[in-house]
Amino acid sequence: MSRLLLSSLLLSFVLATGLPLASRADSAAGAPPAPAYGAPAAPAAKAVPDSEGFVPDSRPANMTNVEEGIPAGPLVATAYGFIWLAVLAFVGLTARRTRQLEAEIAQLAERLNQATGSSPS
Amino acid sequence: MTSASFPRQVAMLLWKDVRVELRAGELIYATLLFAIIIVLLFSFAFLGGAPPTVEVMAGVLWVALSLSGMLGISRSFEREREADTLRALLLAPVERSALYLSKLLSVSLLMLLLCAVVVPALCLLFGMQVGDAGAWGRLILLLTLGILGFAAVAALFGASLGRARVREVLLPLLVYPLVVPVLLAGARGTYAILYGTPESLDDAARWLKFLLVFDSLAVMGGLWLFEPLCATE
Amino acid sequence: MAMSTDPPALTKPAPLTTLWLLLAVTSVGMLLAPQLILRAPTEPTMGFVQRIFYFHVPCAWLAMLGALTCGVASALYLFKNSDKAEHVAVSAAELTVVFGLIAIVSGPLWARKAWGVWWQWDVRLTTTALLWIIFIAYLFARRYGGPGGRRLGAGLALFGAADVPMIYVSVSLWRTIHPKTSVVPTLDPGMRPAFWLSMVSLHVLFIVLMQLRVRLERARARYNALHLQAQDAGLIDD
Repeated sequence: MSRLLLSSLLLSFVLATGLPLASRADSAAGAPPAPAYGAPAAPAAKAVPDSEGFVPDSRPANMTNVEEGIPAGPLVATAYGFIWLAVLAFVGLTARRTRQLEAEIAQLAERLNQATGSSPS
Repeated sequence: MTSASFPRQVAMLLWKDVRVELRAGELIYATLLFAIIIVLLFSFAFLGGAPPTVEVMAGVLWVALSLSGMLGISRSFEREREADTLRALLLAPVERSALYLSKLLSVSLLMLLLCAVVVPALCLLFGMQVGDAGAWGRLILLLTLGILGFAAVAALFGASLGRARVREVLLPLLVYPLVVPVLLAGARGTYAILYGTPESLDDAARWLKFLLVFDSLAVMGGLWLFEPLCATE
Repeated sequence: MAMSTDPPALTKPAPLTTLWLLLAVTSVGMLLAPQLILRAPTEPTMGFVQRIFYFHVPCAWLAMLGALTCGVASALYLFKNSDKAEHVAVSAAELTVVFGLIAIVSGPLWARKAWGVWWQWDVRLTTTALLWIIFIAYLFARRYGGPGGRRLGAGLALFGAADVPMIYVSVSLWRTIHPKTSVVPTLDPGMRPAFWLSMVSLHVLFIVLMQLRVRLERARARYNALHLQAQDAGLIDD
């Protein structure tokens, strides 16, 4: 009983405190970034976001050694290829373990069968 | 035989834990020393060049607290496991929730003790300045709430580790990802309190509210999961 | 001669032919998808690399779905003592780790070109990474947690699944970072067929993989039961 009582007390508390907080978090998420108090405003608004909200030149100000001209093709191909790799590895490993286990089950069932003279279900 | 009331059960179990810890004094001292050593290590890493920023101090506080706290918690549950006292308690006519709450509170007391060492160490070594009594009050409140959240998770999983062979490594692995919100709120809240402007104090209030919510949810989770998780013992 | 207790009745998993059929359907879907993806209109600002989005987003979503499934199944296991639920829980956790890995690999590949950095600490990335780590810890707990390992893992999964919203809120209170990370809400109509085909094929794939993995767990349960029988019959000393 105490567990339920405590839980309901805590839950009502959570709702009372949490809901106004959560709605504030959403609105705060739209505000410009301010990780450090009193820090000079970073030149984040240099490039105007386009209709989709994407800012092309939005890398952090101090990352100046990033090359621009990476071809996109290999990146996409690698990402796609990785999916196949991961899925096939998972399927392969699972199938192999299942096969091994089923072989052992058959063996064990056979031994039990011979020993007791009746087959286990 | 009438069993004691719920708060009394919690108090008795808590007092038992405190007495046991006090008797095994050398373990507490070792954990406290460990906390100081961590702060020292951080000072070697960060000091020597420009004075460390307030953000760094806030981060160091919470990392030192969680590392030494984890060590202390790990050890104290280990000692319980060796003596098999948890199983004995589970057999006794105590309410499971009382058991969980007493564990939570004893873990919290241990971590508050660690705070009492880490915070002065930071003031001394890092030159951390908290400010007036109001700021100290806020800091202590933040630390207490953060510690309660941390303890809620650690007490639950510490008690349920059982006889796993790798339990020493398993406990941090299980607890740390779950308490990320606490560490985040704690560090950012501490930074906001130390910074002291009205705007940052607004933020600190938000972090405090967040911690209240997290603590409530975590304690609720612990209350309901404690029994199923310890059932295997 | 009295038989020792029968092994627990295990409902038959989906017949193998169904699985192979579903797998074939998925493969066709996944082979068709690139065709559609390549034909979809090019996103104006990000260019070709944005095509990763078509499978990155479904995979990230499936990782979340796996986590949710694992949480619910773990609750059933802990509170209703359902072994079948436990099979589903571990399978879902493994899938969360697999699909999470795909999302965490494809994301940075996209980000490297689109943002210039491999990683950022914004809300979604941080939350996904932590979710992934929690479920890796689940697999550790279940495997190395000794006799109580399954319960421990289940507790972690339940706590973890509930914790993810808290992680999300805390990180979003902290970071209000840089560029928007997704464009799904306002999807160009030309992109929709490709996106939904990927979504659907990957969902079917998820179901197929779950089935495969649950079969493995059921086989293990059956093996353990038989092993116990054999021990009782004195065939094995352990």
